[in-house]
Amino acid sequence: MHFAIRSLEVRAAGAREMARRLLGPIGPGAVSSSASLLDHILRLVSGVYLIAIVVAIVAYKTAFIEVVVVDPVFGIYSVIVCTYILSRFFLSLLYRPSRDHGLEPSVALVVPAFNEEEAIASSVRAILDLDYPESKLEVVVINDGSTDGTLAAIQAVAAETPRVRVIDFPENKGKRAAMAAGIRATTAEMVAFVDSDSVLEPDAMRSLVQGFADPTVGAIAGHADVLNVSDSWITRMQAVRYYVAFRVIKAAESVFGTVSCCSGCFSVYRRSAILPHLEPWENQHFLRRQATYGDDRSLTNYVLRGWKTRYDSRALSHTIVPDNFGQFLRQQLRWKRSWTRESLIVAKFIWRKHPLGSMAAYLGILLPLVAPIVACRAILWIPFVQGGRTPVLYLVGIYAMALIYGLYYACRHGRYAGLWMYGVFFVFFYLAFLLWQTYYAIATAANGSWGTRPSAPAKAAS
Amino acid sequence: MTTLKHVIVRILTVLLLPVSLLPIYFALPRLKAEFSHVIKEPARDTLASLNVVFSSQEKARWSKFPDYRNAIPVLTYHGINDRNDVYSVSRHSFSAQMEMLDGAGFESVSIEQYVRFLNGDSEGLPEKPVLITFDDGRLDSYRGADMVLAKHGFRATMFVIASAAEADDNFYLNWNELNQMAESGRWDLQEHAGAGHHNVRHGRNGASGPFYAFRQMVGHELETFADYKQRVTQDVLEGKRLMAEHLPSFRPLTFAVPYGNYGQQETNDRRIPGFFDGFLRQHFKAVFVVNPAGFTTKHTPRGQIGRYEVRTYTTAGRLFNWLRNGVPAGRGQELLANWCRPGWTCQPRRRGGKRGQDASSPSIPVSQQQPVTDGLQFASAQPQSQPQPQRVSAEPRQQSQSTPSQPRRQPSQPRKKVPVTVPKTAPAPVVPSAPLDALEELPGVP
Repeated sequence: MHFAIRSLEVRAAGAREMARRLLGPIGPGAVSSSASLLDHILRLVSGVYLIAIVVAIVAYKTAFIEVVVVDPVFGIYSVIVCTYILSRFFLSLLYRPSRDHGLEPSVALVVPAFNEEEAIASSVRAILDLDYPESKLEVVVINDGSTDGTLAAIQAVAAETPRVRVIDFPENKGKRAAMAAGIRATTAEMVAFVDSDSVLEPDAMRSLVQGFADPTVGAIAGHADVLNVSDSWITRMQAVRYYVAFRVIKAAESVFGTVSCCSGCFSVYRRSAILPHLEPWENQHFLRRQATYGDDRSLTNYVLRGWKTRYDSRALSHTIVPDNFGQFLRQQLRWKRSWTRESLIVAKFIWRKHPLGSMAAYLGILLPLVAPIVACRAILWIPFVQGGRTPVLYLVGIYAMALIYGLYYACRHGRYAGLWMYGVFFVFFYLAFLLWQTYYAIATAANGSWGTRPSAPAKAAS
Repeated sequence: MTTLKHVIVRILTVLLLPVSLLPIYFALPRLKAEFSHVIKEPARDTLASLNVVFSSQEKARWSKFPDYRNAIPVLTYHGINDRNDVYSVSRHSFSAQMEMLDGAGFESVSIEQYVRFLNGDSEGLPEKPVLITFDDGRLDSYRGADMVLAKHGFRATMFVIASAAEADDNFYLNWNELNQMAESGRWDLQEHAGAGHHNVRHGRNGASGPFYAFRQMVGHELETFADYKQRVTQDVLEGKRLMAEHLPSFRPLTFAVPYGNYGQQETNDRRIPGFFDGFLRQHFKAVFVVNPAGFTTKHTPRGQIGRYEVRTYTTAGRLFNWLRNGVPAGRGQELLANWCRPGWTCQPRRRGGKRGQDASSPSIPVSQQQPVTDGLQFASAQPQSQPQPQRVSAEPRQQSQSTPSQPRRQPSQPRKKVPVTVPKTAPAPVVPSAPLDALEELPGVP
């Protein structure tokens, strides 16, 4: 029931940290004015390197396509994985953010808060700073029965400006209830959600709503960068991961209008798309238990049935991510549990969408299920049980994919930074720790707790 | 300072680009190797004989090989390739060895001639007969050896693992090629195993040993002796059936035991060597093992014919020395050599050892692991899967059988004085090949 999303560390960093990062020189998370000629050359080199790796992989797979005959099960798997990943990158090249249609629909910005006394004020102030007509931007902050000074902090901001409305639950009802109350209390055409540990760039809202020029679009996800990049190696890895996950994976999904998760960091929904589903979403049960986390993926799924969902690469938000190993693992476990639940739902209807989009969605469900088996076979079974052969081929394959991830960051990001190597690390980190969570997450998918402690720091964005 | 630090960090981050290529660079040879095994259809044609030039001294030495009568030396090879493992002989070495044999006046015999010789019929035998054999039915043996044999007018006997030929494995010869070989007139084909050319687990601790030499663990229990009999006889007969089915010219005359061990060297059931020897003798006229290496004479037990195992580091000169030192002595010494009978504890007196140390010599652990015969796996794991000879740490008793006067001519060689018990079921003990190797530098036979 605790959606409050702030670790002690993050709390301590809190508002000051955000403000400092936003005002001061922002690490590699932000771009670009200071990019030198050397940066451009290095980015070019990285790009050429990236293309060389891709060509090598494709050539290798084509030259040895017979492996499919020699070893049908795993041979076909490796070809499919390879095609899937490379297709994400190629599709992302086709992605274009929506043109500026000059749209300015009315937007209700819903910010749920639970025990956020330190961060909530700055979050709300950043929202008020958005470059969007005041008359068209409603801000609703819901205090979900906080036991600390959250309500006071909200009211202090609300006292400064009449634009902020406050809804106060006397007792904790959960994040979905709070969000639903926010939706019901407003009337604007669009409903935007911003996690209380995310900060929006001033022009984010204006960029994002342009996508709604297409009347079949029901929801749009903004881009999220990692705000606390320099905190630890965990956050550095996530910086690259977020970059690729949004710029590549979501962009590729967006091409077919099937973005599978409009992340909680920053997303906007069409009110008419979510109103019919508000009640079932609020009371979603999975395996007879109230579904708590994964609210973003769940809501996206409701919308995806009848609408397109898109991603906007120019609508930038910055978000704080877990900065230590334990928190990160717990967060990933939560994501995987909600992924399990929502995959079952999405599998039922996604076939009606664009064939390529739905095929990618099914592969996105299937491959993570098979991957641990393949990894287990290559890394444990063959060398240790069958005797002998080290999994050089498998590891080189993983490494090549990891290089693609890293180099993509290196060549697309504004300034060339050594940070891209963390993208390579991340893939191996994923192989070592996260891959194996899948089955555990499936087995415990009904588990509703946010983590090991009731107030475990958590963020239900994905 | 901050600028300096900035510059250094910058350089390091730039270096990440080339450094990230290193893992791929180091993995390249492995990638190539994997795929040449798994995917790439290997070339299967025979390779040309390599020219070997011996010095006139060497040639003169070859030509002085002593005459011998009523004996045929048997050589065995495993593979002809340039790998530096123990059991592969390079194409160059093989060419040199055949050149040496030719120069020394050897002429190879067919397996039929050999068996006729065993039966006492020496008619048509050349003056210096030799039997050249290859174990395992490997493609590289055929490719590397065929043209060399042709050049010298030699022939050889290939011992085939029937299941490997059936499996159409790139590493092994397939039935088509085996038939071609038989048709060429240079090759005789005989059985090496059905599918039993691998180790089985015979102890709870995971100890393993040759398929034919041990009762194997089934679950947590040893199979019964009856089950053992069923397993090994079925395997051998199935191999024989397969070969007869696919090779029209196949005549089952001899059998070469994988790893040279059917329990006479090491086993977990004393009944095994006796049983298996009896069984093989019912179906084959002669059974080859590896040790004791030597010339086959009429005294050689037919269930345990030793062969000179030619290995990676066996030069033509060393092979020459082996053979020369193995030339059987006159009849009297032969009798002496075979004086020791099964069940006796023998110790040549002149070496002054104690008699009868332990009646049942301890079984020697088998160190090598045979990889699983999964198609993909097997091919790449091949270099390790070569049979390791069963070494016996005890000194051989019958020097004269292979190298009659070895001890006297090698006084400086330190020797363990451990007596050997000849097991009842195994007529002859084992001569390790290591002392043979050491003979290389010795002067010629007086």
